[in-house]
Amino acid sequence: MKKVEFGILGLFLFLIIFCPFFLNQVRVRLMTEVIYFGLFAVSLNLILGYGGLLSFGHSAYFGLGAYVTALALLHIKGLDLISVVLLGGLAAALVGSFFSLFLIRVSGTYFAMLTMAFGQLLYAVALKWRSVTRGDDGIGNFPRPDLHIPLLGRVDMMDASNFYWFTLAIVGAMVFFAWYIITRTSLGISIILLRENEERARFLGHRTSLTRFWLFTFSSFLAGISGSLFGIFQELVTATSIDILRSTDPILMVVIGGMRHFWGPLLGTLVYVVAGDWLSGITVRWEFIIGCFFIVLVLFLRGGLISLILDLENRFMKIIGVNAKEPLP
Amino acid sequence: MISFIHGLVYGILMFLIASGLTIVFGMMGVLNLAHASFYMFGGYFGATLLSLTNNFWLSLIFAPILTAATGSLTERFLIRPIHSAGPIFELLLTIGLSLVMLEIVKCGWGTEPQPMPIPTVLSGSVKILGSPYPVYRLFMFGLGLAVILGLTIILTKTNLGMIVRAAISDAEMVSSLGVNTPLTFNFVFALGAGLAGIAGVIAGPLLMIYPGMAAAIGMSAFVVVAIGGLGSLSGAVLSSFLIGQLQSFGVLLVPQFSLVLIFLLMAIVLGMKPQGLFGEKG
Repeated sequence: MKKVEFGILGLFLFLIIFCPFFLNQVRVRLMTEVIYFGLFAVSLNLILGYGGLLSFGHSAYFGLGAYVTALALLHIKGLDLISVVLLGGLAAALVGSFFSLFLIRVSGTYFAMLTMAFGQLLYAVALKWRSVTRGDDGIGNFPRPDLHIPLLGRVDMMDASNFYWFTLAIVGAMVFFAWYIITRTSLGISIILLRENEERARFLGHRTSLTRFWLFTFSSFLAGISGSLFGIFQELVTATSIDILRSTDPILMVVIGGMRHFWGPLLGTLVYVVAGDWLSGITVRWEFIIGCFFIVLVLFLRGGLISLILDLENRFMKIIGVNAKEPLP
Repeated sequence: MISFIHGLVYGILMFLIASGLTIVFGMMGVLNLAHASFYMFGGYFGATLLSLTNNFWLSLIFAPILTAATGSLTERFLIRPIHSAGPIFELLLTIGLSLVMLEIVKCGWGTEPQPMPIPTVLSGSVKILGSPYPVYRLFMFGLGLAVILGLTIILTKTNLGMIVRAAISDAEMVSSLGVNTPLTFNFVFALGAGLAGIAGVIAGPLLMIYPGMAAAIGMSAFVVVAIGGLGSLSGAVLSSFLIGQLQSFGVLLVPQFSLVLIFLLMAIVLGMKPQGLFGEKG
């Protein structure tokens, strides 16, 4: 049955990679949003799904990545695209690691409160430090450099399809990186163990604080990367990239997709952004529908949409006579 | 001096919202992120009742009751079923709830601000230390103070207050002593919503009734509760006062950075002492 699964996965990848060929410019831009928000949702899910903690200020790192990118492009001449994106991620990771020193000490509701405090602190700074961030007006008019690929030469990044592929490549690499760390390294095992039973993890000799520290830092790095892509894509970075709504967005995406599964957030982002776009064309009050849907999911389907899909798949397998797979970790 | 009174009035308003938040958390362990939405509902109910009856006092009485009823229903049908799933899901639920409540307000009343005039009795101003001060703000302060006193009396002198205080320290034990804790929880949640509703009605004429009002004040209420200590009522009193003054003088002295100051204070307090100044070890 593996063949069927790989087939479906391959088709999905094919669609994602080649969609600029059969979608118009507006749709390609929408898909670009799905891709970088997807990374944001994955980074949040590292904390929510794998860390078992609700961060209520994740936009701090997203916004930080966006601001650092915008400022770097504005003030440093001749910077190439990939190092700008990495710079955004590293800046977010640096601040994230500092905040983590405090965050590793708390859990549950207190964790949510403290992340909210840090997020709001950065928001207030972004809003009020006008000489650097230009407050409400935001930073615009920064150049979007072209990408230089060895052998291929210069690629025009103002082209929507090219930028889509660039975003896809960066996000793809980062998501793979995250997936590798979670599923293939001892840090990943330690993270999951911590979520399931912290006391036992400590008895077994895991340095729980250190594990958390790296988890938070890594998550803020990914959020910074996605914020950086957002900044380059939007060509305007304002304080809204760092406010509280920007923190609830990925929470909605993760819960809709399913927080206990690595690919859940990506599915959730796709549904959230595409459905949001579609619904907002039909009704002004589309957030009402999303909100109700979210509440229904929290009440009745905590595994999110992906658990529904996997459940259906298992049933289908049973019908055609193949044993159900093991339940997900 | 005027700034000081401004700060007091704002602090009292903060407290009306924060007290419900902190009592509910203390008893049920639920940090209700939609709490400020009840404040907003109170304001909208108040504005509608005022335009229907043309009587400020009637709306001051009935709008909070309506808000409390909404709170009671919310607790019964949304919070209670999710309680066993743990704090993360409760937080998630209240996030969704605040989103939906905001949209309900936008659907029901539209996005433009609702008019809510100050009642004529309270529209004048009195002289305090030689400078005129609006009566309405003093009225807000007095009403808030009365509510604090009433709350303190209920909590310390009545049977119900005893149960509530006992449930804050150990809900399970209280339940096994034969008290109907779900009913108490429901009552407390409704009470918290009602208090926020009162705040919504009296804040209406001053701060306007508009869809952004919950977000505008909700964040400050969380700051108050976080600094004072989740679940601590006396902590909420002190930190409402503190934040009120900080806001009032901050705007006067360092207009650029008053917002930064408040969140910096919150981050420092929580960073050093996660349970807040007066919170019990969680």
